[in-house]
Amino acid sequence: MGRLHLKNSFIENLSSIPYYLYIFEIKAYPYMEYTLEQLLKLVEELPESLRQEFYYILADKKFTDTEKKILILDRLDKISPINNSYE
Amino acid sequence: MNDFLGLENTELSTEDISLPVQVENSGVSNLIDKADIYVGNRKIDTTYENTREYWKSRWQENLNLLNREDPYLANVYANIVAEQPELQMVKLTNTNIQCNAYFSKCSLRDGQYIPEIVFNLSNQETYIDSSLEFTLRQKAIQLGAKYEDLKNNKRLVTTLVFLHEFGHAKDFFDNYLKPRENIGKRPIAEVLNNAITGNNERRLKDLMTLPAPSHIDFSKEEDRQKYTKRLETFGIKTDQYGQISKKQFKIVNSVAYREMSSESFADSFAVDYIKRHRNEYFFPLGQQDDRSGRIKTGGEIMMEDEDIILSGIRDGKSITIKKIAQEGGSAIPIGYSETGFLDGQLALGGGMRLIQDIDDSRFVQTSPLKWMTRRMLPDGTTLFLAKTVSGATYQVLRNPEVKPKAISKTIEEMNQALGIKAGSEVILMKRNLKKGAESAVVIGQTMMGRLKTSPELNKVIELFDENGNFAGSTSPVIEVRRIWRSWRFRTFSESHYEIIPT
Repeated sequence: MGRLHLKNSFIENLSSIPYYLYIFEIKAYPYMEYTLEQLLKLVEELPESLRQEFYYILADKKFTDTEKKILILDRLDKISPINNSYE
Repeated sequence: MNDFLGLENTELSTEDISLPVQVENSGVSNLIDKADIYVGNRKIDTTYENTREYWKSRWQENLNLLNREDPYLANVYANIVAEQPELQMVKLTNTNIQCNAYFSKCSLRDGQYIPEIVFNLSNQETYIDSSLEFTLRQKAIQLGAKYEDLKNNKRLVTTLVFLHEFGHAKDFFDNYLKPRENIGKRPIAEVLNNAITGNNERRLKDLMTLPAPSHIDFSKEEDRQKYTKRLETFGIKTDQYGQISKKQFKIVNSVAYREMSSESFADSFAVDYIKRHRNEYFFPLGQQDDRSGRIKTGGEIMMEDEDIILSGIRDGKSITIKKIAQEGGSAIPIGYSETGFLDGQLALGGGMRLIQDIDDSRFVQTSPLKWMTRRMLPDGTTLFLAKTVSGATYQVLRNPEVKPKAISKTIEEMNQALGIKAGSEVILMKRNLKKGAESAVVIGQTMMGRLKTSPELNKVIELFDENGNFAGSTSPVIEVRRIWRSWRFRTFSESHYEIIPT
């Protein structure tokens, strides 16, 4: 089973996993392989209170899409159980 | 205490202020992966109505929560808001989740956007894991304590995490929201939108200062290989087997991460608080442990390799060494001192080599280090001592305000130094935020490929892939500079690139 298949399978089953596990799992995969859409699926599983900062990033015309992706990933990393680690 | 800043009755606006979605082409190659497709109902609509409680003081409810859940942190909190009244605005929420504590600039609670710190008061140690080692080692150095003592004192670690998040809030208020300055100037919602954008822009700039962009995955061997040259600019060199020390990368990256302005502000806030209240956390040197939960500070502490780098004594940093003692004979007199940039990451068993500049062949070098110690002085500064195998003891001073200069170079010098010409494989990494309207490359993005021609002034740099297909290009190069070990060039479209040979 290839990485891509695992990843897609993982994304498809998002709704059954507590959100912190998504964030933990996402660190197991190369970040930039995730499309913005896939990242947003992860964001959508966060509590509503926490999603707002991601929406700010998403809708801010000052940033390009890649910059948004970097900021979203950074923010996900900040709230993940593993702090700034490149394990 | 509500409305303690007097902002809730300032300029009113009932007009919705929405952040418009991006409509222009960003130039990102994956055109179907565009943010505006996904914005939909995710657009933020901040209005006077849903931001009017942003400024509300929440100290009483926070204090009630902490008194119930953690009376010790309640005391810390009372001190924080007494010293920094604007932090009363931050709502403290206890959430039992497996994550770090975090500060949110705009949580949505009961239909209101508010500043919030989420902290796991029920299970405070969930976020204390091995990845915190380098952070705690740095804190131990800053506080003059032993790392092991700090690590094992859960109360102090929890307090540091708690304070760090309030440091993020303080940073956001002081440097972006500026509540006092913005009284009556604009609708609150607009102030908040601008502050969040400004804060995110700074974060993006910060992320570009890391040894490698945070989205690069170093668990992949090909990425590690791709960034070998880049990491060399941070003094991380491959070993005899061509491998990069993962540990050294993590240490150097951790230092760079903590030196990002957004993180260092929060860290300084936490450390400064502890120093101001040091009697609550430390017992003085020479005093017996009274089992009050405090730890020892002061005295001479032996340093390990990671402590040397984490203390800021590392590649490219300006330091001054002064000889203060000598066992046995030596031609170098006591009192001899030298200032320069440290050449390479310093480790026990290696000598301190100082150079005046990256291009200056003159250097001074000590014999290999036998040991190195640190000791916090009464004025809060740290004294570093290094003993060499030849019997010399040096005092090591950090000169943090001195940074390597950007040195103007010719493009021929760049080509020669990097050994690049037509056909060489290189990585181009965009380093600035200024966007050219037609630019196909955005900040942090890298282009990789072989040079079509040897780089020349006033000419574009064009890359092609292994199949000979076009892989990317810049606008004409107009200036070349070297900053310590890195080589950068500016283009006609005001883009700045770092060029890294692979």
